[in-house]
Amino acid sequence: MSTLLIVDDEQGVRALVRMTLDSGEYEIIEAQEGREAVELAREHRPDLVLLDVMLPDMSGLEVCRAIKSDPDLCGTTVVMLTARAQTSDVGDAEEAGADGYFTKPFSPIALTRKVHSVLKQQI
Amino acid sequence: MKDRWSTRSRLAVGALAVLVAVVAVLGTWQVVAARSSQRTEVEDGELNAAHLASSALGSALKSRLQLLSNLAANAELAPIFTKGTPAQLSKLAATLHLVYPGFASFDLIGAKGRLDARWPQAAGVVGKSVLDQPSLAAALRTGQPSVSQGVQQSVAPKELVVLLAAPVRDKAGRVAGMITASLPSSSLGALVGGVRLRDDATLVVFDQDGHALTGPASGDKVTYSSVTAVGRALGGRSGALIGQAPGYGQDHVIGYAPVLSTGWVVLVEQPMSQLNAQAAALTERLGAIGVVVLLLAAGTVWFLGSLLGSLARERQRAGALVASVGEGVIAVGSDGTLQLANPAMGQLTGLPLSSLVGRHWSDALSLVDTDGSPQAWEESIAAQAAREQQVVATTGYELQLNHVDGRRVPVAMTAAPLLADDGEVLGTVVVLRDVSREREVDQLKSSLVSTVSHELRTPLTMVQGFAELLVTRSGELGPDRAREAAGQILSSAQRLGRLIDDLLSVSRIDSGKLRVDIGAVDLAEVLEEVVRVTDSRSAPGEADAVPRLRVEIPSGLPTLMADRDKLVQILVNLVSNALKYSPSDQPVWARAVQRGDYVEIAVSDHGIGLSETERTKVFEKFNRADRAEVRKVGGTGLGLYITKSLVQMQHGRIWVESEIGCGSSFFVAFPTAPATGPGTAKDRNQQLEEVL
Repeated sequence: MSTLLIVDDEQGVRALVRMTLDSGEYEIIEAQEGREAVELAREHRPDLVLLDVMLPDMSGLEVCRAIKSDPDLCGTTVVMLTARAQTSDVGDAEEAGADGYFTKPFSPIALTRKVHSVLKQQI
Repeated sequence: MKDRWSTRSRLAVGALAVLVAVVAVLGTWQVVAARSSQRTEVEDGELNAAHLASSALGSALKSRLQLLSNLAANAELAPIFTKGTPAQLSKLAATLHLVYPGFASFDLIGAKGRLDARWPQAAGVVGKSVLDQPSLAAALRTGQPSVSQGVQQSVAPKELVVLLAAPVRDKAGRVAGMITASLPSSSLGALVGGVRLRDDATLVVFDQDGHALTGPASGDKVTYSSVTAVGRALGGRSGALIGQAPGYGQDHVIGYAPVLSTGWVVLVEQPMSQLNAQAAALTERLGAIGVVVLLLAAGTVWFLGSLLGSLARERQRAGALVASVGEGVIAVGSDGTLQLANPAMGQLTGLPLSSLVGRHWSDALSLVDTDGSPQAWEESIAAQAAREQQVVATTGYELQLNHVDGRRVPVAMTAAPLLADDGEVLGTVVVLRDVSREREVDQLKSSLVSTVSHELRTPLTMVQGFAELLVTRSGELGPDRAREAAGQILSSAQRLGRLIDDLLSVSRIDSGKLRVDIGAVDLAEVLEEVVRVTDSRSAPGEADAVPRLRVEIPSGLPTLMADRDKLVQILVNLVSNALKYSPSDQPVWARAVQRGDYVEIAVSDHGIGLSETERTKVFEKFNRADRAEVRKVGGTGLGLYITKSLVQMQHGRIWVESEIGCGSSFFVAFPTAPATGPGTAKDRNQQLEEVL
């Protein structure tokens, strides 16, 4: 079973992602803040991290870099999930090592497809 | 500016005053010099007259004595003196008168000093000796002609005369007798008739003994040789002086000279009164000129003073205009030297104006770009405006001015070339404006856009996402999840509604369109609604959960004067904040207390608290503290701005007490409703119930 880490400071967004993907296929864990996200990632070694850019304590891009630079987490895929949709943000995300980019507001069906495809690629 | 000009005008007026003083001193000196030169001139005049008179008198007497001597030298006369009859002698005397009509009388005197004949004939004189007269006796003895003065006793009236004596010699050279001729002293003046005397001057002749021959002292037998002028002239000197003239009681200007052939003295006397009168006239004339000069100078001073004054006023007005401009204004010469700076410029830089004016642009102003690199004079828009001869302005906030206190003030700069009438570029006028506020507002605006778009997008994401789940997977979700999804949609929609309400409120507050309807309000009833609206149950929607909001309100609290709905909004805002910014397991209090004429409501929490800086900015529009605990909680930074505005519109007060990490207490206070009337709202309700 694949493990998913949802990182967003908005409880509603986490609830939406969980409800969208909680079909019994994945183990879903949640983090509100960046530091918490990095700790949980190291602890649970998730297959996929859905990562918000605007976090209270640190930037989602920094979290992404932290995960991508950790050799223990080399198999972790990171998809940025953010309300900010400027092309510069996309560039920043790529630079930080993110594997994908998903913009709010998002369609749960599209998100499900994206997650499925990402996890399938991993296998 | 102002000071410099008034100093200049004072200097100019002072210089003119000095000029006037110099003119006055010169005028006085001129009067004194003129008086002295006039005196000298008079003295010279009298001396000259004395010279001329003495010379004329000397030569007149000498020529007459010469005539007489020539006559006496005729050897044919000697026999008449020695052997002639009295009739012959009388005839000779009469003949002499006919030949030499210039004399008053002739005497023929024998060798023994006996007067033998006289013309005109006089009784009792013939036969008398003249040896009692020393000069005559000496002439007889020595055989030398002489001139002397004396009284001819026989001549009536007894008059002072000048006697010319010429001894007569026989062929052997012995003195045979003497001819004497007399001139009345009064005729001496006539002898010097060719000498012109000025004004009131008189000519006085003294003999070798100092006796006055003419003038008022003549005949008084007083020896005046002790009088300085007489004494000096008798000593052979000539000159002029001011002193007492013989026979007069007052000072005269006296010119004196010896009459060489006779040993006599001539004095020309000019009364001082005349000189004084002339000096007075001169002084008067000079005085009048002085007064005119002074009046002219005073007029000039007044005119120049008022001209300078009005110029200075004009300058001051122009200076005041520039000085009162709120923006920094500087005038820069084409070489980059600052020629003028107004006080606002001093405030912008923190430097005194003296350290700006006269210095070069690069030294006086520390202008830097956004990256901190200094801007050179050539790169400045002031230089650019002068080069291109057109108005140039900066854009954005990239240009910053270093203040002496270390701040970097963003400035907007507009430079306009200063052109002379002929089109020559004299320099540039630069206006500098502190755009800190604009920059702040701009930053606020972009942060608002970012905040609002984030605040809109997040609930919208949830509405859209949960709705899509409900639509596409209603079968899989089951009733509990479907309800949760619907609940999320509802709260997101409410959140969007509140956001729009807040934005509209701010817009109304800022445009002054928000109205309040103040009346007596029952706080207990208001707080009931606040509890309902905020729904502070730890698990919203569950009826048995414990509410976090604890309301404490004393009984008998008077009604307060407020707009009920706005008061609800105020307290909902404060309570929502308290719930948002404190841990979800901690209670929040709303406590009311009466303090004098006010009811004070405190909303307190054990939340994150505020730092001192945050406290001062907490009520500002779009202000949100920049730290993780705050960013974690969504918000626009509008709530407390709206709250404060609403409180103030209702004549209430709002303040905050807080410490970081220890929680916050927000206080609002509203005036109590007047005691007169139907009592508290509660009383009214009871009365109403009773009636019903």
